[in-house]
Amino acid sequence: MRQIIEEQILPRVIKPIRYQGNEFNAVHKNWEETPVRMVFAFPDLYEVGMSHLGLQILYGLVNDEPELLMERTFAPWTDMEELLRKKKVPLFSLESYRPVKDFDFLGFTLQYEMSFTNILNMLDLGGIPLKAKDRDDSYPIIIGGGPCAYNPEPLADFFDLIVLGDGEEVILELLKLAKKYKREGRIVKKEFLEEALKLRGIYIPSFYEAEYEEDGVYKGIKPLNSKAPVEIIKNLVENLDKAYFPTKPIVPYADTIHDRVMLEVLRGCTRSCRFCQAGVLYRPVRERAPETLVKQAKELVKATGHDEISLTSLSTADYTCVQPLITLLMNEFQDKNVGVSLPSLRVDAFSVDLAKEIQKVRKTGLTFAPEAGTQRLRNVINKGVTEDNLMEAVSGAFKAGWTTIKLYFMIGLPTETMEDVAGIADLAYKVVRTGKQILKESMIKKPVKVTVSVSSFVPKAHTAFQWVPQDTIEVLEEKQQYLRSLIRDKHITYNYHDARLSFLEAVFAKGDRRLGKVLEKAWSLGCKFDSWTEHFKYDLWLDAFAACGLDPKYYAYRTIEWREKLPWEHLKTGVSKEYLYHEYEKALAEELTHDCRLERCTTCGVCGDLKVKQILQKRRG
Amino acid sequence: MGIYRLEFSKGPEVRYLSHLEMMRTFQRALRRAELPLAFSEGFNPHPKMSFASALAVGVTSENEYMDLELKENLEPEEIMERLNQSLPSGLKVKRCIMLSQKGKALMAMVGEAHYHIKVKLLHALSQTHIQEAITSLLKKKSIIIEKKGKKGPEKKEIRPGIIKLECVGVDEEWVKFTLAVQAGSEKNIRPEEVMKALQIYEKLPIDLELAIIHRKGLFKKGQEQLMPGPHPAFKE
Repeated sequence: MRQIIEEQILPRVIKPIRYQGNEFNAVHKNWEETPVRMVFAFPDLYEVGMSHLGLQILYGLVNDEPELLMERTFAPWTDMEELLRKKKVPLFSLESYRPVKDFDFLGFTLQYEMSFTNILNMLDLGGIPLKAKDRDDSYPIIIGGGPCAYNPEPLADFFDLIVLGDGEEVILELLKLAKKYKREGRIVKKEFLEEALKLRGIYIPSFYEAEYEEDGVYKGIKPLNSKAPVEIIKNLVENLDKAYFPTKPIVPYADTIHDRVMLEVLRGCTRSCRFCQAGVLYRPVRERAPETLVKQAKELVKATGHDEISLTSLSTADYTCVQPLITLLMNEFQDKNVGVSLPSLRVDAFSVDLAKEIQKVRKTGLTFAPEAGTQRLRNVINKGVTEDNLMEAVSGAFKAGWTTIKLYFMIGLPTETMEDVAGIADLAYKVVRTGKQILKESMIKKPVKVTVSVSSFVPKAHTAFQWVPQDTIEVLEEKQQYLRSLIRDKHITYNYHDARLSFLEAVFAKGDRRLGKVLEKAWSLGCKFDSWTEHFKYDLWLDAFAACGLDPKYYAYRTIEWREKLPWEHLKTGVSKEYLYHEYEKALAEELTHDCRLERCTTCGVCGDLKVKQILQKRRG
Repeated sequence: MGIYRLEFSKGPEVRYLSHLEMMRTFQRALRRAELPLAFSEGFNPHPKMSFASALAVGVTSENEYMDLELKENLEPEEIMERLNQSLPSGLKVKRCIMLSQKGKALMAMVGEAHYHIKVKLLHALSQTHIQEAITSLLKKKSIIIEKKGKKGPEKKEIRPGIIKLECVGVDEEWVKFTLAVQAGSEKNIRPEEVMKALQIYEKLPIDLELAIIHRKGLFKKGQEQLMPGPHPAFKE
């Protein structure tokens, strides 16, 4: 197989290095001598998947164990897929060029809903039956994890096992357990799955049956297996400072999206933006100590040769030791020409000061996310940002020499009016005016550039807005065009996303098991790489829904009642449904919720119910 | 401060690296080797290193060259050893010498490149037949091929740049050529272009998509060495 791939396939595809798997620090273990083998599958292109920190963590972790091995596979681009099918070569792992079917586990990371068709396509390319019930013990166990694992119901037919929460502890337990159930080279699936239930955060979809009312409303889920728990609670690394971190991440040859050292400074965020799913899934906040991070940074630079360290987390400016950490890193790396970067900035002057400190030379654009155009709507979503915060931040940026500012907004947020939409344009103009004045005063000749990026709000499971209907495509498009008509300035670039894609994302984000057949139908009609504009085929999706007799509007446009059961309710993030509903009510009343790092506990439920503690490195003064 | 010239090979493991990816790979290996790199001035400091020639995606090579500047003087053997420990498999520094002073840019010195090429035949042909096609091609005063330019297809005259082309063997499926062409900033002839000419002008039935191209040597004009000392390509 290797020969066919190397001689007949790779010379004919775009960017063959996507499929080579011999990058620096890639691990090639002895197949015969390693009893349990897993292939990590990223259902998107190599360049996207290799930018994913989770892959690097699990890859290092598993391969450090003598009895386990992990290889990688990605969604082949369409030219590659065509050749694989033509030459009858199954989807293979990059490291050893073995069919993914030969592994004990095929583990998909579920990062976003619109990659689901790629999962089916990859199974098919691997010669693996799509449905769990059609796979005997000769096939790998198909597992999934990541943010979309918190509502995997549309994927329930296809997966054998879902892992909830932080994966770095449970994955080893799971793979080691599998060794005990391996007979004649294959895992005895049924026995293994039942035993796996004893581990935390393991959800076996086939052990449950979903029930619906006569009118189609979801009624609840019923365990079919006496060992299957009624609810599944997420995994959680209690002390991130002591958690495993990969010292030798793979260094891709290709230009990936994040081509730098990713230093995870903290996990979790409790700013409590009401639209944000990650803020719920990754609670509580757990910070690493600055000394640990500096040590890790040194090891990572030495092992990769990268010239940039990105301080990653959901909100790095919130790290209690961000200032001392940056000083430590700058002292360590400045004369080695290794830079430090922040992936996103909080909208305030403090963040701009941080950016100023680390970007002494390279003045690329700065990005801020006010999310909504008026104070009223920002209060609704609990984005604790004022117009003053934004103006202070951009003034600071312009004064420090930045001339390009990028602003992220959402349209279609609950309670939004056309006035709120117009507020986006007002803010953009205000930023331009401020910029022009400051640049004029500081005698800078470069023109001010403001980019306004507007995405459409997608209500997500496990958030305060999970009960809320999404704006219809027509309304979203009307808002997009209205904003277009308001923004007519050569200094402002305005872009927005395809509302139809956001609609489908909403359907699957809050979908139930019935959507499995739609997914399969859409894939069979040719849908894949849906989040890539050139491959998005909305009409085929509508055909798929029609063929299955399901209405996508039912999932995206309906207000869900409080008394209704939610299809993802049995999967526990630790944040209570009552808390979320209370947040929803507060949103409608335009009331704010504080960050529990700064004041008292907000009783979301995580720390109490999961018996964990928030870990901050320093108490704020 | 020390300036060094390195000779390295690019093996099949890394054949699909583009020139940009190759430069990045070296930059990272240099950092991993913790060599005292000299950096360029300006907004975006880069390690001071320059390659003799860009090698196309898919092409392997026996002898590539790069100049490297360090902040300190190190023994060339040490640089070679440390770098080889940090390079991915497929890239190997074969020789390293210290230059007495910063001379002409390495890239400007390149004048000639030698290749070994293996191409798949669409149907069996004898070596004599292929050699005749070559002779016929080389008799032409002008060979124009079309290449992709910035603004659509462009015409390119390649005849004066072909120094030598020979068929050195045929088995049922594959035909082997050796080729010497003009290379460098003045005029650069790519081996695929010569193969394309054989296909178009002489109707040679070859599958260019599956060509295996290996650069055997890189020289100054008139086959003069880019790096003093014995040259492995001459051992044959």
